[in-house]
Amino acid sequence: MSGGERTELEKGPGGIQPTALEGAGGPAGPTELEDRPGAPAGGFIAHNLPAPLAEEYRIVRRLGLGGQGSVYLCERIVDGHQVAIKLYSVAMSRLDATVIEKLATAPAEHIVPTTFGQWGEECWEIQEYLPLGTIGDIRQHFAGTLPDAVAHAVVADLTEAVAAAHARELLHRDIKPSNILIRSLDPIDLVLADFGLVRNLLAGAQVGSRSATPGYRSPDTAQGIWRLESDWWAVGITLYELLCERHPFDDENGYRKDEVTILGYLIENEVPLDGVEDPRWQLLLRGLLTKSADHRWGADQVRAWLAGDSPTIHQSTAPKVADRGWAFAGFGGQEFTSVDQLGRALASRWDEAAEYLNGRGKTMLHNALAQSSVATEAHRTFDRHDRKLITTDGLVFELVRLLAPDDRLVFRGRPLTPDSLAAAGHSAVNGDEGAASWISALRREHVLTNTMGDAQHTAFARIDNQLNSWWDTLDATTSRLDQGRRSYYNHAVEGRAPSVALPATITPAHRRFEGELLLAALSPDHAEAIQQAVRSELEGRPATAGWVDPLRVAVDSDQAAPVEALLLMATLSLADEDHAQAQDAEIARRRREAAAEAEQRRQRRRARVRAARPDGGDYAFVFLAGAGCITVLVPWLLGTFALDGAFGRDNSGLVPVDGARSFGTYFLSNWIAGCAALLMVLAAVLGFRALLGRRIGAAVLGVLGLVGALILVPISDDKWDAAEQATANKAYDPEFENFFTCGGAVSETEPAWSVWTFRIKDSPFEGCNRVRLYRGLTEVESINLDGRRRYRCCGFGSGSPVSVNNPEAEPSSLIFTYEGDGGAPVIFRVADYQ
Amino acid sequence: MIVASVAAITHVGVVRTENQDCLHVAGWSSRQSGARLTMDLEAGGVLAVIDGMGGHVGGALASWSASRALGDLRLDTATGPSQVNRLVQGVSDAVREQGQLTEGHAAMGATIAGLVLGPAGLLIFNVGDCSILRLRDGYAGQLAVIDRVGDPDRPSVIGQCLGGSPQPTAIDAHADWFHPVDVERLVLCSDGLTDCVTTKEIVALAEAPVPIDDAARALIAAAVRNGAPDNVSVIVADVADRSEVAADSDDNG
Repeated sequence: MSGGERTELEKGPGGIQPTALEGAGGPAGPTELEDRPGAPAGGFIAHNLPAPLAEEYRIVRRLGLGGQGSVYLCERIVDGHQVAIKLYSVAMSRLDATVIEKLATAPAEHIVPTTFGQWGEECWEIQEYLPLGTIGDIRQHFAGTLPDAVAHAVVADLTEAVAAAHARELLHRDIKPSNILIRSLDPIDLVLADFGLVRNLLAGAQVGSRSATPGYRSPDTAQGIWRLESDWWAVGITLYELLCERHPFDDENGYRKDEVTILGYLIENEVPLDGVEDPRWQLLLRGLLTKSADHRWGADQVRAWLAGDSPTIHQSTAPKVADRGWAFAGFGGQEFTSVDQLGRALASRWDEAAEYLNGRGKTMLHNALAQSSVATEAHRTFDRHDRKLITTDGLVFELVRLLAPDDRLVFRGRPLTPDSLAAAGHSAVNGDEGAASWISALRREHVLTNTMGDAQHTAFARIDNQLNSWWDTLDATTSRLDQGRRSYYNHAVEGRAPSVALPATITPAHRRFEGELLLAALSPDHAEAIQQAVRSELEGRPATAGWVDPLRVAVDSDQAAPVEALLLMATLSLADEDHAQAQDAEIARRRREAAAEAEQRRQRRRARVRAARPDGGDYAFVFLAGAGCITVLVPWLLGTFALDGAFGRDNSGLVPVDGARSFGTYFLSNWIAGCAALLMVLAAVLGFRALLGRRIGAAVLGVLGLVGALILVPISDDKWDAAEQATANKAYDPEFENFFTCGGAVSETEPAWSVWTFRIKDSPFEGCNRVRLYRGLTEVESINLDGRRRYRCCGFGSGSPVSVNNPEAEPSSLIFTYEGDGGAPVIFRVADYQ
Repeated sequence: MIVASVAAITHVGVVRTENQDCLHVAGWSSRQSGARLTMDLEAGGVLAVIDGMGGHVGGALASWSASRALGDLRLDTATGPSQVNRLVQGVSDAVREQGQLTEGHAAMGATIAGLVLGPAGLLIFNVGDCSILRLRDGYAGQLAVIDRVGDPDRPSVIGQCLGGSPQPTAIDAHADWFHPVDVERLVLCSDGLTDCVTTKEIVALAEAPVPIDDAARALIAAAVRNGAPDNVSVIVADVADRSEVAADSDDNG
């Protein structure tokens, strides 16, 4: 945030007006709001000084943000004496009384005189105000250059200042250019400031969370302990920055590498001093930036260097550093001075160690171990964990092995001995989940193989190998069984997929498997016991689902590993269920098939019945026939019987006998007469309705009906007459198909006899040649006459022949006597044509 | 580029009546109790759990102000630990300024734990006692540096916080790189979770391959089951580094 922005924010909101906040300070003390001419851009300052301070000082401007608070330039109200006041944040208010006392009595020529104050929760430091600034900006006082004499003077004065602080057991812990103030330039006089991170050397074990500025920490501080030598490293970095105008770990863009990267780099490498040309300066920096704290230059060496000597440089050709003096205090609030001590702590507090190594602790421990004799191995182990080649448990195990190789083996809190393994196995068999997951982790991590040097190593490695091979078998067999089971379902259980997956069914049993298999690996007797148990379970057991059979056969024939026997045991009940499922499915399938067949039969029958039924066409014809019958029959019946003789249709006299009339001949006449009668009735009803309802439409229809009737009546009469004629013709020419009628006569006697003469069709003669005698209408006799003669007609009695056709001509006659029926003989004659 | 799948829930808890926690997920803020925020972040962003300090007046306003200030952050390829520390300093200043603008809230504060999914890599930061847990192999490792002062057995006093005092206060956000290996399951949570659910339980409920949604829900449910005296907030994130640089550094390692 730039100064300009801050000013705007402070001025901006209307809520902050001097008057509005006056006296509203509460326990925080009165608010200072001043408008000072000559103050930096913006003019308004709105920060609180704690009440006791505010009585004496007022703020001029903010000088900057420090590590734990802000620093303000203030002036004493009475005389305008300027001081720098650092206000700590509330949260940072733990001040160590001994440190305060030491700082208060520190030599003022090397350490900025500082007074501490506290009021309620608020703490502050009042310091001498040094307007020349820090050595970070020293070049601006020398036109951007740094004369060699000045640089030497800086080294000399800084060395004395650090030495003076150290003489009082004051660690600075945050030496860097911006914490070294210039009191005067000629001669160079420097003072150390910002002891905010100062801690009593004796309490130095209290470490960790508060770090110094990144980039100034020496490799040894990675172990969590800041020593006097750590300050000297920071002096070296500070001097490098002074000479080269850049930090040795800034990249070309001016960005600082992060601390982990820097410390990681320093495990194998030295601080790069490529910016420093002068060999003398190279020597100084190399001495101060010696990675081994024990060999790092301190005040004596620097003084010697200033005097022109060349103190020795410790050549850290081997990155390994002796464990002597190694210490670490980052784990569990405990300080460790040897790696095996640390290793034992990690082993005994396994879960805490694993969590620690999954978190930030890993970097701390990594850096700390980089200073130990096992740096390379530790680095490799950490790297394997980084790349997920080992789990966190594996990391802890390997670290413990590395750090405390002489200790008994421990994995996740349990010792690694045959007895302890057996105990874990039994617990797991009895359902102890913790023991099961312990065994599982043990084999997954190949912990037992990784026990080189232990007396049991060979046996352990064999167990590990055995366990892992069995578990591989388990996985393979499980998936093979699962496949078999799926295809079993496919053909035996209606193509359904299993409702429960096989692996999911087996998984709960894995816990017990861990125990059983570990025990089996430990003792062949247990392996045999497992096989025995399974075989007795299989004895006399009924058939189960087929997918389990291969395994069953293997176990029966003693070809199976213990793990397969266990798997078989675990799957038997599932196989039984599957078998039952398959049987159910079979029954259901048969039932379904039977039902389907019955249904098919029903369908076919229904189809046949449907096909046999009369269809619409049939009904149409029936209807038409019925309608025809009704429309023809009704008028005909009416005309024939009800209206016999009506409409002038009486006997015309043409027909010799009533019996000669046939229905067919008179049909048309009778039907038309019936229709006429219906029309008349219709006309009468309509007329009546027309009268009742005065409906002209009905009247019109009635009249039309009447007219129709009147037209039909004469037609009916004509047809009657025609029928009479036809009947008569027929009567006189009974077999007109074969004969031409010549003539006939009817007797006067009772019963009436009649005699008829005919000419046979196709006769080669003129005249008649056949005679028929009737009594009434019944023919009693017929005679074919002599073919050579031709006859006219005929008469009864012995008297003169009666000629019908030609009474004048009376040539000769043939006389016949009929005596056929026992009565008086009938005599008739047929006159000769000639 | 760091990518992440995120599920986040904040919950008022069983005892409190006001939710003073706030979640920040790539510019989105939520303090709605029980609401679940899920997101796939392909282009970076900031994730944070912010716990408004209950002992202080205006904890809810503090956490909300901090979340909004986080939303204003811009990330670039230069974003590293010192930049993140400065950014969080800016957030703290924003909380303080908001507190001064609001009567009676001058000392409001909040604690925070967050991830910065920057173009140059993944950074973790925290102020106060919110946690960043890395779940791996059945163990929850603490990536945050818990700022607690004094005896660890006594009720905690928070070492530093965002805002928290009327004076400008310098804070250290403990920003650091975190290099994810493949996909890392991280859980960000307020002390409302860690105070009533053990790390063992957290691992059991939230470690991969539990889906992040289920994990977040299960953690909140566990806290509520255990009485949740404080507000509870969790962000469960699967983070991975998809950049070329990550592959290179793997090779070097």
